[in-house]
Amino acid sequence: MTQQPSYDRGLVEAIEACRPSSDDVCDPGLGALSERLESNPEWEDLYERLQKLDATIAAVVQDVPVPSGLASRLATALAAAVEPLACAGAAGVGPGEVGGALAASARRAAGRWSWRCWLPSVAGVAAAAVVLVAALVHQRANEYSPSTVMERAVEMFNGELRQPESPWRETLAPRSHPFSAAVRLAGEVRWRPIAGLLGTPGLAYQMRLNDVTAVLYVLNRPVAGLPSEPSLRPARSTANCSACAWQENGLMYVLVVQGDWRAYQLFLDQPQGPLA
Amino acid sequence: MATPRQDRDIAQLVSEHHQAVYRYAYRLTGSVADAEDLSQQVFLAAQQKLAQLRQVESAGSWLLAMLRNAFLKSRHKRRPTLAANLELNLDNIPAEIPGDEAIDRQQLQAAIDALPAGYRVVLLMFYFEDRSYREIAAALDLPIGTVMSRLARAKSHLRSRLFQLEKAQAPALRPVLPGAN
Repeated sequence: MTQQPSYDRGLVEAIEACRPSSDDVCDPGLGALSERLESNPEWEDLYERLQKLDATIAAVVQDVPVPSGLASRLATALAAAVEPLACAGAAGVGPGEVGGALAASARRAAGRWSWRCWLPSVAGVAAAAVVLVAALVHQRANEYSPSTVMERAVEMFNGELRQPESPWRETLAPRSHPFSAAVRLAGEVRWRPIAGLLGTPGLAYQMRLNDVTAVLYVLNRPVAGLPSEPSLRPARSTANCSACAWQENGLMYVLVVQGDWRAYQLFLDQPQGPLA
Repeated sequence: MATPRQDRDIAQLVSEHHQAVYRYAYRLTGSVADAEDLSQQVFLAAQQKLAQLRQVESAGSWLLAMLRNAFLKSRHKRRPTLAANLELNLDNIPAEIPGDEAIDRQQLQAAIDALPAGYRVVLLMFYFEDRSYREIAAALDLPIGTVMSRLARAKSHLRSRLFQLEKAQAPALRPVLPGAN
C-alpha cells in the first residue's frame, strides 16, 4: 500500500520555505521535512517538482520590463529635489528633523507626491536660467562697441582684398543671412561664408559697381548701440575705405566700401539727394 | 545639501540599481506609475540617508529594504485585503513543470496584487530577493512561524491562480499528489 502523504501543516510550510537551488532543507528548523524526504520518495518527488517550479516562478517574477528613460527621469528628479529643510518646511516639519521630512515626503508619495516637492525648485531653476540667458545676451551684446565692429570689418575687408580666405560663390545665398534691403543690389554680387569676424559665423556679400569693390558682412550677433539703418555718410572712414554698421531684422550688417563717401553712397539703396 | 561626492554616489546608485528597484516596485504595486513613483521615493530617501550606507556591496539590499518599508507604509492606511481564503495546498503543483514562457505575466501580477500587503512582501522577498525564511523573519521583525505560514499560503495562492487556468487548457499541467495514482 502506498503511503498517503501527510498534509501536516508544519511539513507543508517547511517544503514551501525551501528556496530553489539552496540547501535550506538542511536547516535544523526543517529537520522533520528532511526526514520525510529521506523516507518517502513521493515527497522527494514533490520536493523536486516544487524546487523546479519555484525556480521558474522566481525567474518570471524578476522579469519585468523597465520603462525607457527611467534612469534619466530619476536623476532629474533627484537633481531637482529641494533641500530637506525646504521640504520639511513645506510639510510643516520643524528644521533639523530630516527623518520627519523624509516621512512626510513618504506620505506624500502615496499619491503623486514628488512634483509638489520639486516643482518650486524647477520653477526657480527655470527663472534662474531665464535670468542667466538674459545676462549672457546682454553681456554678448556689449562685448563689442559699434566702432570696434567696423574696425574689425575694415581689417577683414583689407585682408580679403589681398588674399580671400575662401572662393566667392555665385549661387543662391543661404536665407539665414539675407542681403540687406538698405543696400543697392546691382552689379556683380557674390557671397561666401565667413568665420573670423567677431568670432561669429556669418556671410559676406561682395559687390562690384563702377570698378568699386564693396563687401556687406552679415552676422547673427547682437551689438548694442547700432542704428537700425545705414547712415548717408560712412560712420568710419580710413585712407582707402568707408564703412557703416547697423542692425536689421535681428541681424547685424556692416558695409565696407573701397573708396571715400562718394563710393560708399553708390551702394546705398536710397534716393540720391542733398546730403545731410 | 549633498556634497559632490554624494551626488556622484547617488548617481552611481541610480545607474546600478534603478532596474532592480523598479522591477521590485512594480511587483509590489502592480502599476507602472506607482512603481516609478515608489522608485523615485526610494532614491530620494537614499540620497538623504546615503551616509548610513556602510558597504557598497549591500547597496542593493539596502535600497530594496527601503522600498519594502515605503510600500508597507503606503499600504498601512488602506483597508487590508482579507487573507482568510488563503489555504495551504500542495495539490496545485503541476506534474510537469512549465517553462518561463508558459506562465502568463498578467495572471502572475494579478495573483500577486490579490495578496494582502504583508503576504505580498514575504512572497517577493522569497522569489525576488531569494531570501530564506529566517532572513525574511529577521528583516520584517516577524516570528518565523508567521513568515512560514504567509509564505506557504501566498505560494499556494499563486499556483492556484496560475495553474487553475492552465489546467483546463493544458492537461499536462494537471497536478499530481504524492501517492495519488
